[in-house]
Amino acid sequence: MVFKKLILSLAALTVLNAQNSDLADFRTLIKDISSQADASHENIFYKPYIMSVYKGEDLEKLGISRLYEALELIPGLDVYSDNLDMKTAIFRGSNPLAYGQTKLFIDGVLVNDVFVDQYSNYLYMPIELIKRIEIIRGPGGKSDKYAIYAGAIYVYTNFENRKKCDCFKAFAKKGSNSLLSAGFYKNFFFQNGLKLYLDAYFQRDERYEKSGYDALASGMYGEANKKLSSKGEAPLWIRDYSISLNAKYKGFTLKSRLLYFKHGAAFGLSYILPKKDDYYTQPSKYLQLSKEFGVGGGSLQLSAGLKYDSFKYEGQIAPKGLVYPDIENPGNYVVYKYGFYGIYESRQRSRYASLDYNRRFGRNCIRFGYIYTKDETYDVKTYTTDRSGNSADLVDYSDALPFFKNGVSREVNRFYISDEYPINDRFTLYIGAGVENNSHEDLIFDPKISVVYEYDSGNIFKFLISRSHRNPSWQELFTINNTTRVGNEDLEPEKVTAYEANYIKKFSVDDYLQFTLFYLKNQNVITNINPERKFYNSTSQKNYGFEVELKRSISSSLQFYGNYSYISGECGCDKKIANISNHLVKAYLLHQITPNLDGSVIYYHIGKKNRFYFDPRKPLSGYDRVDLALNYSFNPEFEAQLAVKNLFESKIKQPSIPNSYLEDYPQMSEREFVFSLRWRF
Amino acid sequence: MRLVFVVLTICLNVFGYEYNQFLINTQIDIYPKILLFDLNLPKKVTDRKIDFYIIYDELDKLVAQEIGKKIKQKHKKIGGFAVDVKMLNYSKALTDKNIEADAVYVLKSEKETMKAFAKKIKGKYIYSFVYDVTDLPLGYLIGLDIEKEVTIYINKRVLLEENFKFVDEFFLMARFIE
Repeated sequence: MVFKKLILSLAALTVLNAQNSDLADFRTLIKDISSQADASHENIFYKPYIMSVYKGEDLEKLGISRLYEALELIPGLDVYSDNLDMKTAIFRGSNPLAYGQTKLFIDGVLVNDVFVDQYSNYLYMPIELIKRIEIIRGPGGKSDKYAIYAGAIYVYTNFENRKKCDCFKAFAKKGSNSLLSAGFYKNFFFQNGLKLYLDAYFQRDERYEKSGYDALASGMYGEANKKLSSKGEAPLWIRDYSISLNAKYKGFTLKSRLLYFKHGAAFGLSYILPKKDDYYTQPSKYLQLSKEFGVGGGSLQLSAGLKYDSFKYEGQIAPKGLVYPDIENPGNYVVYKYGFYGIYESRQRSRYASLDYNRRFGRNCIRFGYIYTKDETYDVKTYTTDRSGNSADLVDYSDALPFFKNGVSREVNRFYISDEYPINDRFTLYIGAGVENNSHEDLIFDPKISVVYEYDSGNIFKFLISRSHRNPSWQELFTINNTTRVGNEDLEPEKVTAYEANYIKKFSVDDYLQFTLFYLKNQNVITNINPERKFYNSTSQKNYGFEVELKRSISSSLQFYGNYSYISGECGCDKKIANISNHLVKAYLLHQITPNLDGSVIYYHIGKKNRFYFDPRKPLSGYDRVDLALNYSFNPEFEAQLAVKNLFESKIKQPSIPNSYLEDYPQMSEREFVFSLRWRF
Repeated sequence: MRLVFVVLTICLNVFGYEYNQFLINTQIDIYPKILLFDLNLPKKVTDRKIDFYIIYDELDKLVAQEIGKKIKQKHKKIGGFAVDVKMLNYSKALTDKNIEADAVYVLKSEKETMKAFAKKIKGKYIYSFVYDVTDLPLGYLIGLDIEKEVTIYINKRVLLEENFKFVDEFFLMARFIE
């Protein structure tokens, strides 16, 4: 008995002694995990912006193959594509005809190109290489470094893996339209602390879609050319290769990627149906080096980077017999008896350097910084058919009639500061501002303020007011000697003021309802929908609506995710905004049949899209699409998946602009299959 | 639309629960360490070994196995006591006469099932942890959620009924629910 008491006393003493040091360790552990949760946005409901987070492995289960397919699930977001099938994410109906409304970041590096301010070439990224996608709707986002206009997409690869593992994953896919794709990523951890990440992929397909009669039929090129119009197979095929190497060592971080992207010429650069092998390329490469220091109790990060991107189009611009104004002898016409062929290429580079500092001062979490960016065009090539029309030979018009201004540049200086301040346990105030000065514009001031109110841990309210801008893209500013796009160097930036209110009801740790109201005032909206095809700050517009998002395990046998968005608005002339769907519904169900077998179904409804008020065509019909996927895990490391896309063969089209193709651009009209194999180690 | 409805309806079938991997990993790191802060732990663990049970629905077996594996790897000993991790599905847990558990980590299930299991371990001085903090009022002791930061919740009713003796500093780090 005495012995038992002694043992218990000794054990109690040991426990008491241990408790003091254990409590300190425990506090540190909670603090560390909280920081990780903050960095990976596990606590998004409590952050001062409206964000959705999707995990790559969850999206894989749904049969989603590429980044743009994942974006189609986001509330309030519609993926739009143009006459070159260049895709962009349209948030809440914000100017569907402009790129650069949204920004795409891969591992924190901005990848929008300089030429069009687009990122379509990165939207084909295989989902297997994506660890997480964060989407912020509205300009009141987390990025202070860059002005975000309608929203931002942050893609993180497995470079982010915090686990010290040599993780490896590989995949291979085969599918409809002769789709072939394969790729892998690998993490390396070394004893000396060096962390490396490598990924690579390729994909190719032979997609063609049947187009209606091209813009020649609409009279875009005059009555005399109407008879030359044709319809047929529009080349939407792709060739896509990429390799990335990232590294981290003693506070230094290197991020780099090489991307080669080639795409069929789709519906033609000038809205005239191209040949099957005509194409454009959008290669891109970046390299960014950062160093983090601990300074004055805070964290200082210095970064510098280089990004190269280019646009090249090679193909038939117009068929044999085109009658076109003689540029060298105004008033006369030339008949191109061999047709008109063109090679257009423009190369851009961006150089940037930035400083970012953040630290806590009491309860205030202050962040400030500066970024300098210089974008420039350093090479423009224009080869076209001899403008006399008498020869099929290509002539170098790079100096005489370039399609784009060579040597143009823009320098941007941007300062930003923000403060996150918890007023009490329930209220958190966030205020921030960006001040930008660039070589094309005077000082631009982008303020934002938001309040997060936690009624309790399950009921959260957010209110946001923010202002931001979008600088005109190179295409909008510097396109010359072209009849379908005419640049305008006098363009002002587009400006947006956003008012957002958000309510989140957490039902459990995984289930929630989110409701968002938004009202956006856009000024200086840039379009070239006019007879000259010249870009102007043509109107202002108001966009408003709401988004509802629900994720819920209804019972032990059913899990559901769905969202509905209502989007409406008027442009300055009190007309309804063109090319946006008022109603968007996206929903999915996941179904685990056995521990090894699971299936899913996704449903999309994209409502009809109105035309411009002067366009006599009927609205573009909406569509319903259903995708299915079935996964079988042979073991935790190896799985196979069969995905069926567009099960009911809906006719999915994107709107053509007025006075071009009479019919809209077909995107998908048949049921498609993708078979995937995935390995993880 | 009708076809879509049919497809959706077909899918309303057997289905495992969803688990947030980050939350699970956090709970694996934190839950076993909480036992250290109970002054009665040495009295409770008379056999010098902590029996740590994972209670799960059958379809979540793989999730439970993964959790068990990680707890074994990360917590070989707690306060000098060896840790023995065991798996038990709800149907066995409810029918077994005696559960020799010192601590249980309960995954999601139907409310009634979870309530019945909470009743079963009541009065036995078993540390109980839940995956979903909203299940705490069913009769379990401790939950954890990722809010603005990691937040630990204690069910005050269970704490008082079972008379757990945690050190005061631990209470300062947690929130109570009634």
